Amino acid sequence: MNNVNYYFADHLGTARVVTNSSGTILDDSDFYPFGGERVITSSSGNRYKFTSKERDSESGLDNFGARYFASTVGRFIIPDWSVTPTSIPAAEFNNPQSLNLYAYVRNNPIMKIDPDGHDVQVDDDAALKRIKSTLPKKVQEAVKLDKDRKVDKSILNIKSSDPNVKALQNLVKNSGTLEIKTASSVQMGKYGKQDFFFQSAADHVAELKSKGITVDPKTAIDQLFLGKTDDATTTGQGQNVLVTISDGTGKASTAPGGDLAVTTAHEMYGHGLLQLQGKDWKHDDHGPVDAAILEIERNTRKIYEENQQ
Amino acid sequence: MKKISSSASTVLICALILSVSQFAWAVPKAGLQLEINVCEFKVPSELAQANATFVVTYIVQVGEDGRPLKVDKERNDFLTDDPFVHCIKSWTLPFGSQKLAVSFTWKHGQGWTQLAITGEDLNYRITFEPGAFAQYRRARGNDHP
Repeated sequence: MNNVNYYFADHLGTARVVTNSSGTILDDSDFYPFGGERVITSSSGNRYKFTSKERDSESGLDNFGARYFASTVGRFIIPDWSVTPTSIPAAEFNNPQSLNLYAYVRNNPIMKIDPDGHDVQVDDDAALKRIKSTLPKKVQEAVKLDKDRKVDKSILNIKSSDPNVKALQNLVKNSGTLEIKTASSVQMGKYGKQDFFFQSAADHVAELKSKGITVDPKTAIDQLFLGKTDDATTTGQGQNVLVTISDGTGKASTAPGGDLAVTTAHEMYGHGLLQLQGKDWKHDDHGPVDAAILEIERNTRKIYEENQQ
Repeated sequence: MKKISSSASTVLICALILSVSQFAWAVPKAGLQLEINVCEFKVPSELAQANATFVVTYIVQVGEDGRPLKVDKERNDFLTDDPFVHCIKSWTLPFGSQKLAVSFTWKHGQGWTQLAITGEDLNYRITFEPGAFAQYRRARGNDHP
């Protein structure tokens, strides 16, 4: 007790060496690709083994949160699952490895990790506020972060028929991680860094008028850029899906809260969740994806307006 | 802001119009015909997927014969000007010499939704059928030519 031990991890987060405060090696282990341990020295009692997951001393299974993993066979011991019944969660039909419901990181354990199976990582407090703004008021207080800034799994205990609540629960349970952050700008590939912005239709009409240009106000619309979901296959984030939402500063300082809430839901429960589920997630010219996202937007606008009353 | 090249192809207006709203009607000059080609401006997938809704606006000086003499950018934050200028220059707007504002509206998730032409006694608004250009599928095509 009261001893300080130091963990030296590899690129996967696996503690290969454990020392005490004076540098004496207590544990020294090699690990096979799927997590099997080859012990050289072991005296610290460390239970946090392959990719920092706790290994149960009785069964030898690793606790990945949503599922237990057997490093002896390199497979989860139960199939992947989703809150919404789905035959093959996270299926990608151009990637056969995704069809194995027991497989670990699509059989690429040297390069990839499964952070804890199912997570929503919230990078900043404003992002948590954005998430809450998409939810009915009575549910908002129940959404909390754990010590690792992930949405606490206690939200799974919430009984609600609201589609946004269910979508958030699905995100927490989905086999993959959605990371959400707020910022004043975002990287947009060949476009480089782009500022988020908002300009109301009325402001745009007034701006043109000040330049001697008269336009029909009926043709004017709010112009905005308030969020973006990255394609996990192109970001180098492994299986993580990154959602960036405007922090409401700078050029987006006049963005209404309702628009920010709708954008957050659009990106998280639309693009983000669909992408993590391995489904078609990009806009599809008024196809099924657009229909689903439109419904998410309608529901979020309604929730936001009810929350303001 | 950096620009991404886009190209324009002309599409017959009658095939794509959902509605044409006209709030003030200027009568075309005798012997001249109003001619507006609706051009398809391709939007790169990076921009199409970003949650951005924006308007591209040009100021057009039209001559007595209705032909655009000068097309100046008022606002175009993301796309290159050439396809827009080229398209507008193909129009005939025979309502006398005047300055017009031409706006193209892009809505996230919907694509190009509206073309508006505003001037003295002239106010056209052309709205496009949702998905008429299949812009999102085409935007993906831009990634994998």
